[in-house]
Amino acid sequence: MTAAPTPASDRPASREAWTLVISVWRNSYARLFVASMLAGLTLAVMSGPEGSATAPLSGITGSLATPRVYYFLGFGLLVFALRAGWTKFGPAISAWFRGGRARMALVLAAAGRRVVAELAIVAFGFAYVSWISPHDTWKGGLCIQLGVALLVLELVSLAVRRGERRLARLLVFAVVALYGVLAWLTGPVSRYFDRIGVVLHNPVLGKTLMAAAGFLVVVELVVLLVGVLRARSVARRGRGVLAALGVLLVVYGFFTWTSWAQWDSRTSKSVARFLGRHHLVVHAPTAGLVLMALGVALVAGSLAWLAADAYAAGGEHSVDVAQRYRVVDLAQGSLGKPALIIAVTLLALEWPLHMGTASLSNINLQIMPYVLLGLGLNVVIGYAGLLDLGYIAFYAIGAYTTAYFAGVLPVKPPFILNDFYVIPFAIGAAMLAGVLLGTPTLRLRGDYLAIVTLGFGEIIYICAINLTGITNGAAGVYGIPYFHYHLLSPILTAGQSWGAITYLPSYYLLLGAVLVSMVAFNFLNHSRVGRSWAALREDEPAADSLGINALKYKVMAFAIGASTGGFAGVFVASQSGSLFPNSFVVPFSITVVVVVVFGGMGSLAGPVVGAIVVLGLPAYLQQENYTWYNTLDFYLYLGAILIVMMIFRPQGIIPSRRRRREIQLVEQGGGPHDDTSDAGEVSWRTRVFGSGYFLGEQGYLGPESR
Amino acid sequence: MTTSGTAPEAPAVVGDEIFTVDHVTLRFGGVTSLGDVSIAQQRGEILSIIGPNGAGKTSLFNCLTGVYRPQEGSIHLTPSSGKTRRIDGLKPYKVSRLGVARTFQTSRLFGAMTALENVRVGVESTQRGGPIGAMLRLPRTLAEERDSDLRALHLLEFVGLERRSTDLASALPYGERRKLEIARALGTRPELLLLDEPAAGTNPAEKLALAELIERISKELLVSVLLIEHDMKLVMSVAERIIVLNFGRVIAEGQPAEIQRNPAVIDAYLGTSHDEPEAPDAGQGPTRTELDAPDGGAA
Repeated sequence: MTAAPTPASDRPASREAWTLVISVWRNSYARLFVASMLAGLTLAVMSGPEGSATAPLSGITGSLATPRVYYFLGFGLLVFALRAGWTKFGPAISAWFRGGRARMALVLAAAGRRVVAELAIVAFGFAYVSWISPHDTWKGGLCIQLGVALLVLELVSLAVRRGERRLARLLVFAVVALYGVLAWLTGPVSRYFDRIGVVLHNPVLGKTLMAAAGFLVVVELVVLLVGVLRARSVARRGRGVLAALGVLLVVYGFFTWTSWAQWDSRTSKSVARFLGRHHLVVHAPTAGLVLMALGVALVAGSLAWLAADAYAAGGEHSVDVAQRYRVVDLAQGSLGKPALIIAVTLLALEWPLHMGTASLSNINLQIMPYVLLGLGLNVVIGYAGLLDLGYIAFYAIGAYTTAYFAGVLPVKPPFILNDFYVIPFAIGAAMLAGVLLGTPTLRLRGDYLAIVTLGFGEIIYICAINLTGITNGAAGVYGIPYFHYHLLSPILTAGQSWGAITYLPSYYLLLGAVLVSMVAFNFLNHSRVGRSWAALREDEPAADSLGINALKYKVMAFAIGASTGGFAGVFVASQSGSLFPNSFVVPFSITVVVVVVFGGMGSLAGPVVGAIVVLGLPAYLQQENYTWYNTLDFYLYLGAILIVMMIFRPQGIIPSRRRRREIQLVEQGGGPHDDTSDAGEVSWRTRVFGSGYFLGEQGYLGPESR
Repeated sequence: MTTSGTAPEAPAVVGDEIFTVDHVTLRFGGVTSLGDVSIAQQRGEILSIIGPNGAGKTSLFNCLTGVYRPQEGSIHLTPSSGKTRRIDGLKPYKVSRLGVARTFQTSRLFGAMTALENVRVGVESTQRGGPIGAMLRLPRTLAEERDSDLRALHLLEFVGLERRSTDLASALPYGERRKLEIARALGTRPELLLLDEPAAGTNPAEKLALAELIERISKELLVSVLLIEHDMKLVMSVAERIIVLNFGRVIAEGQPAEIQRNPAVIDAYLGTSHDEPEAPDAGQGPTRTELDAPDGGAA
């Protein structure tokens, strides 16, 4: 036998190991298997005995100790087999049905979506972990770390597949650094890892690993920077990198400058304290100031560079310049946007852990429901361009459905349901109400539709007040149970439900719902349906002539918009335990409209920002108890802010690109309907709601027959 | 499903009637916009309707596309499937699904969308995917998205706007907006395309390109074209048959050369317009010099 060297032995061993990890990870069957088994285990734990507050793990260990767990694992295997079978034969079946095998491959190639899906998985996993054991928030941290690792691995495999070795290397360094942090810390997360033997808890090893990773990252950044500076053709990216470096410098300088000792007294787990304790950042005010100044100079310089370029391009027309130079894209472009989304999601996951009960209760009961309501109404107002002034009715329907299935209304349900199972019923009821309201009324346009929806809101409110035999009237309903840990128990005892212990699980449930609806609505807006809505909004007769059934799409918008309202209703009813008809009066509908318009109609982040400002600000001011602030004055301030907004920024804080263009078109008099009104004089409604909104009744006739 | 947006679906039978208008009368209060109009178009034919302002041309279009419902008479459409359907009184979107597409006299593009998105709206009206598929990004929805993207690009290429696909529709010059509107209408896979003054406001070079485009729509896509146009040179060069309306009635019908000699037509035009009858040699087909000539007749 000749000892011919195999090709594999030529490679360095480390690279081989990584290749192996990546190749296993790239294997969809391996991933699928792990996911299915985890799902089976999760179900086993969720249906098992409940953990007690004194022994948080007993719920998990108890359920895993029983032989039952094998059934659930078997279930996981079945899921795996079915899904794997579909993966194997799916393309063939699909090709047989649609004759498009190539399309299937293209679809599978679009892996970017998976990253978003994984974020949602992390959010829900986090919700679940804090849910089974609300005392141990470190488990939440564990979930985050796992989620981050998952994401990084996904990105590594993506980068390798696309041939971007440099990016892949960077990500590998990040994994090393993460491992180093975990090895070094003495915190509960690393202790947990230590216990299960994943990470050796060893400060020396941790520090070494981190230093190595940090050094490699810096080297990589320098190489990247030099490469970018050399290649003038990608100057745009270079400016982005410079600006990002500047921001990093500012942040680093800030931490160096501030004393964590001051932060210490205010927040128990502040970043500065953490960094200071572990000597990641030296406390040196002068050095910090210098670094910050450098960073600011870098950012300002790169922005000025950009502005000069845009000016030199010679376009007076700001839209043209913005388009040509993608000024917008620099902030929310292909690289920045996912990073921003990940950062905000991580913040939304982590921050509540450090909040007090009062803040969290404000978030859960004030802000988050309105985020959901805003997202739903955004579909109606922002996407379909219909003004709905009675939106709160859907919220009421969701809330009363919850009360009905909890058996606390005068009318008794045929069966009592756990709040979780009420969710589909409530969403269904709200959507049905949307269809019932929409079908007869959506033939109306503009002001007329707004008035009818206003009436609908009043009808629901008056029904809630006067149908004493059904809704218990103005006296309201009490005793709606909280959400409960275990799905198998239909009705619950206090002390084992979410609200009685902490607000965290509810928060994560809401966060998950918000994330899922944001992703789903974003997909919707960029689909055939979304384009049809945009077409109807801009020019209904033209859309009609292209075969778009206006009524169908408008009813669809009403129903889809109503769904999140129904969910928010379930949530608030169960979280507050009681409900009163007075919570569903017209001003609340108007508040939701304000949330949407303020944040920016048709944009995804708009309603979120709108709800945080419009509802979070008063809650915060009230909580902090400022002497100058009187709760009753809030609407005064809000009105003033809105007036200023409508004058200077009618498109909202974070406008959608499409809506902003529409408003610009109307203001320049270049819109398709400039013949129906004076181009110079644009009504406030048109400014706010866009051109397609108040189309005018000549819509069909056109200029000749007028 | 064909992969190319420009390939014909099936060879249409040339010679039978794609639509017939029987004794249609349309009144607005006391004004009779269309009085007892009866016309028909052969499949595959380029038919042009001309007439002075207010003759009822656009009203006829609006009756054909379901925007107006005539008080008397009937309109029947025979798609290539062969099944004749009465379409007067149908909603516009239903008429569109039966294979009738139109453009508007004043440009009605979706200005805040890109050129490609405009065409995609037209293409997607023939698709079936619903909101649930869109929210979950089901493979079927994604396949449809790719398909519509591809077809829209093909159509932009067909009208010569492929380099403008990412530009906003409102940022296009007038002539290109006209082409884009035609591409958008073609996206709905029509069998009959109604063009309402497509040359209005375009320059002579663009008119030449437009004439070529209309002939290609007819010859390559096998779409029957019904054309309203004031520009006589364009009409005479493209139309295979011409119908003249005046005060809501058909006053003449025939080959371009016949129409030019028809005394009733000359009367109608001399009464309301000054420049159109001055094109004595327009029937002999387009030459570059003719179409390049400065033209004040386009309204």
